[in-house]
Amino acid sequence: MLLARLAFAAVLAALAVADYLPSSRILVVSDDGLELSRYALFWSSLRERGYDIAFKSSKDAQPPLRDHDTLVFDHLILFAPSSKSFPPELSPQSLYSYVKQGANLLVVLSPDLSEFWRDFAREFDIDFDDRGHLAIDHFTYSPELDDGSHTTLLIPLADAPTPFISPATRAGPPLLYRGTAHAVGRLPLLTNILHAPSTAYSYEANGEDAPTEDLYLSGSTTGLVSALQAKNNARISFVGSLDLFSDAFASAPVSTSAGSASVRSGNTAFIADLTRWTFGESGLLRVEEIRHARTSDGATADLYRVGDELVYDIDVSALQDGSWHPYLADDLQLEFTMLDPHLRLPLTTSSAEPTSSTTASRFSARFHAPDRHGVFTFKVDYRRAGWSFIDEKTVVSITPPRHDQYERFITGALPYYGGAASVSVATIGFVVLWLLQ
Amino acid sequence: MAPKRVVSRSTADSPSAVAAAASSSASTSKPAPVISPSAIAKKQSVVSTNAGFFSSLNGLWSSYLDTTPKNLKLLDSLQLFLMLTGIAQFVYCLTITNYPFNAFLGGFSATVGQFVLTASLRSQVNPANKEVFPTISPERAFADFVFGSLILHFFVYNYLG
Repeated sequence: MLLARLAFAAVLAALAVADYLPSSRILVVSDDGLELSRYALFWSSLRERGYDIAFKSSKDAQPPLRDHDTLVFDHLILFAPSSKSFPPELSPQSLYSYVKQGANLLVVLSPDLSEFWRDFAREFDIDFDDRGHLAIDHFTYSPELDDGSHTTLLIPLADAPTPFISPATRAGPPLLYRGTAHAVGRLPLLTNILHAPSTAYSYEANGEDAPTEDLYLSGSTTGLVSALQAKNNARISFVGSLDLFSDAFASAPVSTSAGSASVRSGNTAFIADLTRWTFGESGLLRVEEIRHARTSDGATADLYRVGDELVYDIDVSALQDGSWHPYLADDLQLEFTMLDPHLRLPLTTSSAEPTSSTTASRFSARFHAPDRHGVFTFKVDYRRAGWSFIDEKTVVSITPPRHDQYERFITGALPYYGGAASVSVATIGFVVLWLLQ
Repeated sequence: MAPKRVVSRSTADSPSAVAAAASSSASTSKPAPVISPSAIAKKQSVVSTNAGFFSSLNGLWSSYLDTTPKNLKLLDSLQLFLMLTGIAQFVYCLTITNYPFNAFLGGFSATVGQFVLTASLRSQVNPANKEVFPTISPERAFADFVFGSLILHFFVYNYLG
């Protein structure tokens, strides 16, 4: 009996520990002939961050990605650009339902990508160039690694978008890239993280032919790395280069500017940032606390009266560079809606008011409840590229004043009160005088 | 003003009318104007009419003081007070605010209602109207007045808010 109890407690403790672990299981699906040892630095960096990595060939029977409603693997890295068909566990439909359940995908492709991936990417409004086409740039190639085809590009990271790539990486050395390019569509959930320099184009890289016909992709519209955040905050990143993850590129020296000492490429830092973002280690917004109250007495209620001055506070923190920070922004908005927004107000940070914790910044708005009674919703719907979405709704009722809550004696009406009183006094005085005579 | 002008013309035209006007303005020491050429007659007639108007007002006032019973004077002063209070409230409502409207209704209708009640009391206790109200004694009229006033004030104070 005691033993059973102990065992039960041990199971509970194990479950509790498992709860605290970060989402840490990654399945890597690779092409049959791909030498995974070429990417050893990448795998070891992931393992250092606490991930369990399972490797499978795309030809193998796959373990199930999910078991009923729980994810067996939290993230999926697809290193299988040239595979034409996949087992049913990796069909587009099952990848879709996998993402729908909140899993993240890192899709790494290469110039010999199969039609399967081209179709898959098209679903996300990403259109990869023809098979065998590479991003080429005759001006910004890496002189050390290039074989003469000018396809090993040296991409500066200075203008990579902010929550995806950390400031340290942006300030660091440029990135080495050798791979295919894609066109980025207008899907609002899609963000282009990295594009080629304005002198680049996408073409067959046999080194001899100059492009004679119209190019599909050229200049800075040549997308290299793009990412999409689904409405459930699941993240999907598309990278057009396998070599970007290779040890050879990660440890290759690059010369940042003429004459300066050559440093190691920015690939390691870029990969770390990209995988952090894709696997939900950065770019997360968390609502710490929501509070709404009447300003007159500071009381939170389910019912507010028409015309009450209300205050709404929301504490938001952001996960960036491995820790939670106060989120700083000036574009949060509060909507006070009943069917339609009756009020849409900017939420401003106020340093004067103390926040619930030092890791969150407090945004607040003050307003008078509209002269309309009904069921209203405090709504903060905040969607910014790279940040997980905030969609917070709090329902309150706005009621008209009760019969005894109206203002009773109004200074503007004093002449009327005085008039009535003087009539009474005069009448009583008259009655007295009448009776006395 | 218009009737006065008419009177003034007639006085300028007929000597008997002038004499009548002069006799009515007994308080003025000025002798009655003699018929004069038409150029000056008009001016003199204006002077004499103004004097006549004020003297007639004075006559009206003194005869009111002399002949009106004391209780009717008391009623009249109450009515004057009610009228002025009502006018003041109405002007306030028009020029400054009618919010809250119920208070205006209460205050203003108090003056109007009380004025009406006072007017009925006055007509019923006036000795000149004895034939009109043969069955209503002054005491009965006063009791009606007090009863009506009580009901009026009940409504007024409910309206005030």
